Amino acid sequence: MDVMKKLEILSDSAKYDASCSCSGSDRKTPNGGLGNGKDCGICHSWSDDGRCVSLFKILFTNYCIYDCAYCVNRRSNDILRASFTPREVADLTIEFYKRNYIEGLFLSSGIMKNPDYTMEQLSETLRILRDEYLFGGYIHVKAIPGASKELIDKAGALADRISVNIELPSKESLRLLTDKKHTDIFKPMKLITDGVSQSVAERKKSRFAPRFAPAGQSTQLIVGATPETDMTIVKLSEAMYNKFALKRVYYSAFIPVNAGDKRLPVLREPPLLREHRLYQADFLMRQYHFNADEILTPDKPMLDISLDPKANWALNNFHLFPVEINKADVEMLLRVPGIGPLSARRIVAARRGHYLNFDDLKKIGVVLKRAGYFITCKGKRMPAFSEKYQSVYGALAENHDPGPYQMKLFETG
Amino acid sequence: MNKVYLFDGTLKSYNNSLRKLWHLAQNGEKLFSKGDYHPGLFETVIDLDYLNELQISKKETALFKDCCRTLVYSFCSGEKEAVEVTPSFISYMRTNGRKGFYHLAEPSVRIVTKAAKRTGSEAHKLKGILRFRKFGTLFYGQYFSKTFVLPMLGDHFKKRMPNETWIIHDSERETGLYYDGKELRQAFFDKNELAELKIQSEKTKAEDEIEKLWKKYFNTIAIETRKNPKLQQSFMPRQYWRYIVEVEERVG
Ligand code: SF4
Repeated sequence: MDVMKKLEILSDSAKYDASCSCSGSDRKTPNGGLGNGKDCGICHSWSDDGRCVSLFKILFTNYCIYDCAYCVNRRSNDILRASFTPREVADLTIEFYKRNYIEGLFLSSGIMKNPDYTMEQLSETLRILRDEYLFGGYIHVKAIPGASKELIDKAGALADRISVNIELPSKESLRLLTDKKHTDIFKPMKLITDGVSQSVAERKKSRFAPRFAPAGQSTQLIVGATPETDMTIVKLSEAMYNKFALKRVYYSAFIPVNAGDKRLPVLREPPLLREHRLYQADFLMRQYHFNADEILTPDKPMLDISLDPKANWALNNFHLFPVEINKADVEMLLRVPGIGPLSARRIVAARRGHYLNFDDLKKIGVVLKRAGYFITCKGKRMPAFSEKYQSVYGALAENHDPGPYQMKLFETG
Repeated sequence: MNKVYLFDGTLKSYNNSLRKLWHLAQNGEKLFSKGDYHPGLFETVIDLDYLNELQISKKETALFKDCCRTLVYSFCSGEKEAVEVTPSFISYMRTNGRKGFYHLAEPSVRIVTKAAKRTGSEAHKLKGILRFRKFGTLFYGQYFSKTFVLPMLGDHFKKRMPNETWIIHDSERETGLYYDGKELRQAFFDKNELAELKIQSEKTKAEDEIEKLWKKYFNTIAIETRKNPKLQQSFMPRQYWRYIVEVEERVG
């Protein structure tokens, strides 16, 4: 099979993987070599679905000895199969990098023969890139569940980021949907649920967090294939950020690739908006210092589809508003819909000079048509902005078009 | 009497004039490129190109550098107003220090930082969407940009490909940078020079093969059920497509 055909098959299989952005590492260009890991966050293209293309995202092989319900590559599917050689992947990466198509490589794989064999192939690819081609660009590699610690460590030493997908948000769901023989897939999940008592020192030794990958670890969750609530998911993510120092959790709306499998729900379309809201909630935790418990509560365990989670929080805590722009502390400013981290910082800097009015806020970049409901300037409300809950809800609710949200997502990746 | 400063309109001359303005500029004074200036009554005109360089005190060096960076970016946006308010901006920053950057209520700060941001974000975009095509051992990258981002791209690609020979070519301004694996220098393009550099309009077969692989990849990764050309174009507007391998054929 020629490389063109392999590329088609193996990029097709990799495309459902959500993570795209890389967060820069401090890897420098090797002497006489090519590229560095610094400039991550650069999008090189946008595919027809509007997603940022930053890394060359590819599967090493789509052969798999297992049979997970939600996976296109599962053994029982009758699909075209292919495998690269390590050299082929390395060559493509270098040629693409030199033409400025990509920022680096994201290498993932089905499991062929056994986990160790597969992990070895991935490591060999990385070795060629780093040692032979002196490639200093960004590499994200998937750790194959079940591969030996030594092999994963080896790959981790060569990569900028290494990740294990936990795929589904609970053990019950994993048990139901993954291949029974594929028990290793529980290991990363187990690490997370047992993680409470795990010390930092132990974590460094565990294979979920090989310590060398300088840009850290990330993981991916499929949303909508199983009955977990948003609250379960957001709390799980929070635990992963706090206890495992995970850099990113990616959410991937379930796309029914295996129609007819009785274990899977029948969806008219992938829950894209829900995925979008989860990303927003995630963003609130990472950038706005929100706790999972503030975003969702047991009596309202799902995110409101028509409100972004920040507006949702503000409406649930309507009694805390309005806040006075010239007095409120940064933490509170950050919680006002329409005020982002940058605007909040600017407000604090600017109000040292003089009292701010609505005009100043507009110049600073505050989105007044949202913020207007929640703030006062010098004790005055914005003219013609309602104080009634119902009308504020109506004004902030969005239609169901996710819109160009990726900007935010990947700028900060 | 209103004071008006003049420079010769080039980036180099603008850059040089900043050091002088740092000492001279007062609020309300204006800066013009000689080509844009129409003499008015009651104006004192100072041609900065004839003034000697002035020293910046150690204490102010850091602030001066930050201001220069922002001003050069704003100059590269092509916004004439940003040039005009340069003296006011400098005078304001000199009195207010670094926090002045946030005082968007001050018109000169607003105009300059806004223009600088336009250049900055376009430069960032082009670091991603510029494409190289290989001719022999030379990587050649032609691109379109609204603002003048060449200076920002040069350093970026020097770090990214320090051991390759490459050219980046601003198609709008017919100017570019040539890097021979050691040094960056400016290049101007006419047909002869392009021919001399062996940049043909015909790609080699090997190059064509790689571009086909990339296009195959690009077309495969889009998820059919999520097609969203509007979103795609909001990030990557069509005016850039001419030089972007994977979409160049779509602009016809
Ligand atoms: S082990 Fe991975 S590749 Fe194989 S079927 Fe399961 S999810 Fe798919």
